[in-house]
Amino acid sequence: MAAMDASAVSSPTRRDFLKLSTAAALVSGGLPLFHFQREASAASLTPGGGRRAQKLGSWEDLYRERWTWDSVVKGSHGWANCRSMCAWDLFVKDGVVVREEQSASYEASEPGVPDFNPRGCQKGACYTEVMYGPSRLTVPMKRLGERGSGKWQRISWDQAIEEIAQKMVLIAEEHGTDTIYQDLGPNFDHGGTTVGRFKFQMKAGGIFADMWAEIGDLNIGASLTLGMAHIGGSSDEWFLSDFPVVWMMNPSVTQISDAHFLFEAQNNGAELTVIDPHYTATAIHADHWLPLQTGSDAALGLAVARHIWASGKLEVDYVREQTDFPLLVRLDTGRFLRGEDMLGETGDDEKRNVTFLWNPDARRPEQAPGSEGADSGKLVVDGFVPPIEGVFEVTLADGSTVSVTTVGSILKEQLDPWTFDQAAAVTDLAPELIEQFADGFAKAQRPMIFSSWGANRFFHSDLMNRVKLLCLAMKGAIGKKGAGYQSTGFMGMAGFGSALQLNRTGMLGQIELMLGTMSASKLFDIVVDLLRGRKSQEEIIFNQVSEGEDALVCATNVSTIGYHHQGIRESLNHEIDGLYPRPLDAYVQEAEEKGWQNNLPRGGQPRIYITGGTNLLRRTNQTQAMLDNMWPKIDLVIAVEKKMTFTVMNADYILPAAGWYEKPGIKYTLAYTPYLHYCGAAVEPVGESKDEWEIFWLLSKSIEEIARRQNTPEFEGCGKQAVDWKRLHQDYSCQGAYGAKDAEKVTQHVIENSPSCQGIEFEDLQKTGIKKFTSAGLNISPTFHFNPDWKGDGVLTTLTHFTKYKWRWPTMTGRQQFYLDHPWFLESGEALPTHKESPKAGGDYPFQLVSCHSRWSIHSTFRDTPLLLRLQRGEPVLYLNEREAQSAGLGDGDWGEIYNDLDTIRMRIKLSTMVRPGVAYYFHAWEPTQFPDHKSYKWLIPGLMKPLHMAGGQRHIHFGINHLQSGSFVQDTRVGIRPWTADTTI
Amino acid sequence: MSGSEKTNEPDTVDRQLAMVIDLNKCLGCQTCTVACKKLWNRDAGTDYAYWNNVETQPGKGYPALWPETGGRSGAGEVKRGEVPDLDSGYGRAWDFNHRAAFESAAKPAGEKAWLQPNEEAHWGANWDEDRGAGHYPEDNHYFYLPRLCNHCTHPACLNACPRHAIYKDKRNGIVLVDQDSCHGYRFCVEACPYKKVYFDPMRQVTTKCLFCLPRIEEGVPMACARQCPGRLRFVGYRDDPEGPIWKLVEKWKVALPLHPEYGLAPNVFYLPPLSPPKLDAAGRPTAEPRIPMYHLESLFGETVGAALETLRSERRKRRRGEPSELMDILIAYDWHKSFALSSEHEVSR
Repeated sequence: MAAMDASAVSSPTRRDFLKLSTAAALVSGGLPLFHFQREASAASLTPGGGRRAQKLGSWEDLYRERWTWDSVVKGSHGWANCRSMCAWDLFVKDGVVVREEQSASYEASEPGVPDFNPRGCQKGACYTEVMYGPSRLTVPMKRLGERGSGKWQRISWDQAIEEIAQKMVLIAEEHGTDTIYQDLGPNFDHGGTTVGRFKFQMKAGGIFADMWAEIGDLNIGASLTLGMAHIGGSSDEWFLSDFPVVWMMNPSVTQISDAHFLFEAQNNGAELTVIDPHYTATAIHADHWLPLQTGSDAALGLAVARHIWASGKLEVDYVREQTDFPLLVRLDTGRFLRGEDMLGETGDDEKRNVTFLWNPDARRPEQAPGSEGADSGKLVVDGFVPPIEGVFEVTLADGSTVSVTTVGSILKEQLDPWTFDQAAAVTDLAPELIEQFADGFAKAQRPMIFSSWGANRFFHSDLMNRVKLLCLAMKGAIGKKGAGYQSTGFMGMAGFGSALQLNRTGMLGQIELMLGTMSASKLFDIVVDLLRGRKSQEEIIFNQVSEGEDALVCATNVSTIGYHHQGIRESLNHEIDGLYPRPLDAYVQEAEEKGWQNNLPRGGQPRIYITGGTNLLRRTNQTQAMLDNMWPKIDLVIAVEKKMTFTVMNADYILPAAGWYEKPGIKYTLAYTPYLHYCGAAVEPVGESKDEWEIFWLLSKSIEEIARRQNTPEFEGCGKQAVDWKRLHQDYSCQGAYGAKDAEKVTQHVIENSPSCQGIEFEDLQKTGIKKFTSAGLNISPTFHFNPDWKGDGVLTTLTHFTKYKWRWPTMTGRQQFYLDHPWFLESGEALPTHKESPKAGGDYPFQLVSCHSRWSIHSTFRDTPLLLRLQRGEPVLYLNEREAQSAGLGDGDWGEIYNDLDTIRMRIKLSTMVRPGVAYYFHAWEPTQFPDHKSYKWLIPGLMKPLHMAGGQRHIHFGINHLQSGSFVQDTRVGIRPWTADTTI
Repeated sequence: MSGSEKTNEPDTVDRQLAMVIDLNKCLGCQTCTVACKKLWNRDAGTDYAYWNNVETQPGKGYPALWPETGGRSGAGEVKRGEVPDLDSGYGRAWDFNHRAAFESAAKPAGEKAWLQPNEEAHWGANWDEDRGAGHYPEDNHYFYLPRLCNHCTHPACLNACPRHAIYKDKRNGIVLVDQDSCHGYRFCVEACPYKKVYFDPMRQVTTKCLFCLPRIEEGVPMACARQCPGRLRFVGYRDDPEGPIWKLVEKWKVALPLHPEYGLAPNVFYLPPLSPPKLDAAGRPTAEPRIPMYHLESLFGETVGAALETLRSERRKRRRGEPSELMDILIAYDWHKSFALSSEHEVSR
């Protein structure tokens, strides 16, 4: 019998030699990336111990041997910026993670609802390919020659840290610490490594630049309506809807582990509608697909809202109690009737913004409970039933008489033109199709709308989302089990904020934290709250953590920095010329004068940029302007990264970060799967890489030593609090309580100080990888759930604090607020949700350039992974409608030249019947390096800024991380396309 | 026991392991493809090969135009087919130029190397992804079709092999290529009309899906089934009346074999795809599904219409609040129950 044993299979083969020689070339070429040549082999499902194959003396032993391992570790991809949380078994053999497989150890939340198993997609199933892949970074390096030249010198950690620390001190002395720039977002977990990254930035006095709106993920429509951007329960709640509507989301592609709940809901009798210009991987399974005109979603929603009302399906009691429908608005000014109108100048200042309801019995306005400044914080009206329609005469404090009406009346009038025919004219859908959908929605018991982070990328996405929320509110669906709005909620992790801010461990640290951020009178109030039992200690600590963040963190947003320093101001003004009463610059100026927006750094542009997984140069719109204007003026670019990216290519120092199976962590706590996901370290960091906690531990130590040696004076930070680098490391390490290798201990601190994790034993968690949260957190921050009843059992529904317990919503009116009487909104006709045309960004060209998250990557991670590229076409493609492209002379696989007023780029064309004519469609996050001339579609995208998003001065209309900020919208971009004949050889 | 027990007489297997794939839940995410590839199939000789693939239908599939050759004649004789071409049929496992791309950011325009396959790519395992057919918006359509070896009751590959290297495991009916006996003649590659046997030019043998034999021996479902986040695969034995296979195939008759007309009696079955209604010229919904019946019938045979009607009527029942055993199975409330594996064939320890 021919010998055919396992060793014959795993011996070096042609491809191995190729890889070996590539690795050797990389080292000799000055780019010492580190490579493992081992091919995948083994595996099982009993965590912990190893597994050896039986030798049965037959040919199958060859394969039995492959399914073996030395040990199994519970891990996950905690730093992946994806909206899934998945438990994995990591199989280790000979010190290498050879394979990963989903643990599938979840339970059903309640009887009659399917379980979550198994969670994890194709990307998670091959993270090992990134870990040991061709762009992995494993040794510290310093740039030789100009930025981007690709010439690197391998240096020691000591040299790297020392040089960076010295440069940072010099730059900070000259320009201030608020020129240290980190765009915080991706590569975010809730564990020790991210605490390290953020804590360094905070203690060093750098700026926290939020990217939620810049990347188009921030649901500003929800912030403006509900006072919070992140709404959503557990994904098994999807199963309970009888009328799920996927409206700007593509769960088959972007929620791979959750999508089954939608299709299982269909098997449970639900009617699934997908509203999308494209026949997406989700739409193919729908009962109804509405192929509407790109960007016309609000028009469709307005017709639905009109129909709900006209067909008598309006939930009158719900809107009366929970929304601003019954609130009174002055007909002369368009402003809410306020305390300042009714009580006069002498009135209590706190009552200035209180709003009013009409009391039909007494025939006079009454203060609306729950409203800002109202006596009662509960949405309970005693003694009368306020109408939602009508016009009334009111006598003001100054004796004058004005006519007032209700928000409901104004809304009804504004909805009136939105007949099915009118919506059809805008959406390009047949009136019959609109009517069928509107009628299904109006008659549904539990309508649910899926509007994900990707639903926020149009200039007018806020209007679209306000309309969707309006449709749901009219059906009483928001805050109702099995219904409502799904845009992604989070579980509270208060311990993360605490770990960031503490300067020392234990209660002493907590007290110090409080003293550092509060006045004496506030401290007194807290003591009283505690003594009277009004608040728990946890609640107080959590409050302090939130307030501390406001007091200490130098928060701004990436789009504002881009506006000021990227050299795109003129372009941004030009793009929206004439759309609003004043130019963009005028809005920015007013917002900054009134303190609604800040402009950080205070002294000019950022000077030190630390990239840690955010890949700014990959994602910035108008990248060419960034490279030409802002980037050369940054004195020091430090990449703390596990893999080569376009941003890393243009950095000065590379500090190799440990990868996802090489350090402890916590996957950020989305509500979809209400389990805490622990990421165990399966192996030591690859090569010389170190986890981020240790990297910033070393950097803060070196900086502190230099500052002490030179007696560096205190810095002002961003003006909020003095920053002393002579104790930077002491504060970072909590006076030495946390060592360089203590990422796990910090992670433990986060868990133990998070009320949502109470009762979870850290050691148990490490063994099982997942533990169910024991509550949704304290429900204080506007990113959380507002469900006080959920204690780890059952499907997690959100917002019941408001609908069941009648708490006021965190808006000015204390209600779901559809009417915004902010002067900017009034003057631009956006006081109520409405439809506006998508502006033609980049010039008037025939194609609209539209993007979607990719099934093949988590942003740029996995984008250059050969195993996955082979399951695509190996390079970026632009999807065009099959018929349309052919008539333009473009065939499948051809090169196209894509152009507009900004630039010209080249991309392969892929034909598909999925794509709407007039749209050039792409799945995002290709690196510029993957395009000819290293110019991606980002070179064509102006990144519109909507002036209204810089508004402030009202309770819920103000700048905030995770809340409201100016963005950089991509979906309105227009391009032309022509064939390109190129020599495509390398 | 020394592992699999060979039988070349397909009708003599003790039991037949089978799989049902619910196309109405497939996301096209290819987690099955990656799971299979990572576990079994990374050798240099089979780097181009996907024992499990997911193809967009309509489309050329993988390998391209696979269904056009091989199979059995009307009289049951195995037909000689063709071995697909590596470039135009399968597509190679492209390598990439990461290093050159990383090093050329500072080079002048026109001289930069960009990251791309080291060869001009013309075809691959998922080349037709999301392409589909028909005209937007009236009747454009596509669906995902995961494919693997059907572990046929009458495998053409088995009869095509002059060395008798291909056999069915008597314990479970899994079709295997004995890697010691195979001489790499490739008659099996030609004969399999599903083109699910692959030639390994490095080792000069053919390889194919094992139905994850080593896992099955331990009572663990196949990687493609257990790792599927869409929860669309059911695994069990054909003769188990309590298991999902018997219920979906025999009782409810909603799970159908791919190309029954080939005469190989596959043991992988599919729930055919429903689709949203076609629109008429004025954009109004019609009563007709987007995926044409002729296309589904060409894949799953003439009973596909009845299977689709059963699915529709059971969903309607649920909409009315009535119970449905079929829908309960497809919802997979307790996912672990999608796999009914007997442990009686476990290897003695």
